[in-house]
Amino acid sequence: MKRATWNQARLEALIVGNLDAAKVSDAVANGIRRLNLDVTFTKEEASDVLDAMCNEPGTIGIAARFAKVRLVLMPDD
Amino acid sequence: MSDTESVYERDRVFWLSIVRNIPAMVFVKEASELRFELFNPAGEALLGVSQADLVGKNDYDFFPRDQADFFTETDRKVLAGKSVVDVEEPIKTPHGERWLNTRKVPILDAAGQPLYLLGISLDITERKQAEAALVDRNRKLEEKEAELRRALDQVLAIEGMVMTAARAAETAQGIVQALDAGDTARARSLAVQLAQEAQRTPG
Repeated sequence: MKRATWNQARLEALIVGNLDAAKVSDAVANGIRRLNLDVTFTKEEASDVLDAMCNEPGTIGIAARFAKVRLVLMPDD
Repeated sequence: MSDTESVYERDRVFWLSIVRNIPAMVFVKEASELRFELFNPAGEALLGVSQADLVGKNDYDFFPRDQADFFTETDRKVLAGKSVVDVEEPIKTPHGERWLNTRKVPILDAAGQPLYLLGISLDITERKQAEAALVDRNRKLEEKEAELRRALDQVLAIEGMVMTAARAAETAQGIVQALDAGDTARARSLAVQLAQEAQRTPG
């Protein structure tokens, strides 16, 4: 059974690169909303959010791609 | 033939026909010297030896010494312990090495002394090969995963540089937009920002 151990704040923390925090927060919130996720979600769903964010133009899309790599390398909870 | 003999013969034929048609190797050894007394056709096919050649002989007549030692030792333990034992053992046959799962059963007399050793062997070679293939496959998967992790670590190692370049590109785009709009003050401010970012260590 996949555990819902992820939330918006945890996902935002994966995105680094001196980006504007508000911009990152908006992008993550939009991704979560588009996928109709609950407040907490699974690692796979977190991965889906990042996949959606990869299509964002500019630095957010690039940062999301690196965040996805970071997520893949994280051990499961 | 008396009625008693007739019943005995009928029972013997009945049990022998069952033993002969079981698709697993069935053998019986007498308990004292562990010589074969009965061997069914599935066993003959597996070992490539006929019952006629086998009866009266023991494992040392057919198997390499180390293997015969192992079989004999196990047989003796089963007879001494007077309990059923399951063993997985490799044997050399004319078809190559085969793995057997053998149930060894001591057959005791009324006084509880061992008379025979009954063996029932299932050929589990395919299962063993499948298990070995699975172990090998898992090992290769683990190697691939480790390789992938190393590659992803390399990707993360260039994250700082890529993000610095991406931010610079965004700032440059902002400069162009400001110039197009005639906002030279903003263009200058962004140019200063770009110059400052260029001074920073990537990341």
